[in-house]
Amino acid sequence: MVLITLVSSDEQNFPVERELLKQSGTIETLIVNMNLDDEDTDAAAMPIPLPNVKGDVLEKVIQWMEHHKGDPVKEGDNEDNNAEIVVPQWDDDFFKPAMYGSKHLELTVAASYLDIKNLLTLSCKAISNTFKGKTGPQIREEWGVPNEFTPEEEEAIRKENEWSE
Amino acid sequence: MSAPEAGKRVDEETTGPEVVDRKEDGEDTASPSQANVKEADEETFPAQTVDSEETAADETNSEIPSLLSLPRELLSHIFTFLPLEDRMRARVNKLLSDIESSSKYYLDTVSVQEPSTATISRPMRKCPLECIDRIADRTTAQWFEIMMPGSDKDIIKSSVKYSIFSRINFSRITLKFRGSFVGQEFMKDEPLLLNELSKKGNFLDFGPFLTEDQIHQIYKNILDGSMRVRHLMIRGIPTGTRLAFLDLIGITFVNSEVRWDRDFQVYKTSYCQTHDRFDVFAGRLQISFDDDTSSKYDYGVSIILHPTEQSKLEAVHVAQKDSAFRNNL
Repeated sequence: MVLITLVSSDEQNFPVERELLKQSGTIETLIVNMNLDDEDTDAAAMPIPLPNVKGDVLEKVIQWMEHHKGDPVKEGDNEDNNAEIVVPQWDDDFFKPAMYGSKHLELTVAASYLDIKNLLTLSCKAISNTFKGKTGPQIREEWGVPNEFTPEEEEAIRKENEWSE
Repeated sequence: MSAPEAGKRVDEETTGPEVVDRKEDGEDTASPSQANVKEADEETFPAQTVDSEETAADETNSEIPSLLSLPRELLSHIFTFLPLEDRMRARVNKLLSDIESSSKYYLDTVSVQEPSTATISRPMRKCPLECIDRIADRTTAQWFEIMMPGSDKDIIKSSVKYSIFSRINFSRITLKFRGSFVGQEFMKDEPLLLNELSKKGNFLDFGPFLTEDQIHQIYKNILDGSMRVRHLMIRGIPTGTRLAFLDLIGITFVNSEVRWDRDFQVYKTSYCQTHDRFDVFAGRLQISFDDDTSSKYDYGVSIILHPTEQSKLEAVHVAQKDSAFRNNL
């Protein structure tokens, strides 16, 4: 089994199975650029720095990739059916403990930076699920979003949304 | 030193002194956007470095809550997962409201048949016409169904419905009028409309308001492939219009017999004594029409350019089965 070492922004080393890293477009590009797939290259001696991902986030990313090893990678950015996507139970359990905090948001940013399409999709879908059926004040409270609207603007939006409540 | 285990962090004890924890060095890598992350959260999971990303919150507020610390691009992406009603309710902040106002909507169906209400799916629900008007420029519907109102074309033109009709994107459109005369007047007044609809939709589904020349124009659009339209269906067409259109494309229809000056197959697939249906195939083209001898109106005409030979063969197979069923009656 070929291992490739990823180095987080806080300089923690993570040896990861080569096969898993195919899920990340960013890392795949780095592997190609660094010739790490060449037989003559000593991959173990050439760690890949990931200066935008901290160690504890990278650990979660690797955990997620291990569970999804071999899954087909989503092609393109087709948004047509995004509202229909369902977060599988394992992923829901994986995301839930960190929801409403920075941990899940950081995982989402890392999925975007590392170009792990399936993780980004499911992570964003999990966040969007927290909005479902909630009122404006509930969303603000749960996600700590400030209300910058004037009372008049607030009332106009409330009236526009009456049908949806 | 033993070999590292895949996927596990290699800590200082196993990797030696080259592993440096920047925090221990006193180097603060957290961006300003992370300073306000909830205290409890920081204890278990220190904020991530996203220095290179411009966060959405940077644009709005120095008191940055965690959700708004996401880059705007990611917030926009999150909105694409929300159905219409949830996205409307998610406008809880100026930034999020701005993101909603630029986000795109993909709906299965948008049906506008009542004066002030639309029905959308999925999930299926009713919403005010003003809501569809608000998002029409940014909406693509698989199937857009609209019943145009009134008996006066000026009312039609000034209505919210007309505005939605001209702005929404769709794959299939069902266009109906309250009265075929209104539809004919409307089409006369909008000579470019059929071309516009042929460019936007691949399936045009109309009531009985087109003339034979207008049907012929769409037929040519279907055949030359220069526009998106590949399927036209006209419901309740007057028999005279149907015969005149067939004549324009060289098909003669006399005594329930189809003649055409090109290679074609025809199947008679009717279900009752007064009503015959004919499926005519030529190349990948399929023209289906009804001949109702008891009325001045036929059920309809359908023109399809099949995308592949396989889909044409499947349609031929269905016609053959229906024809065999009819012959055994």
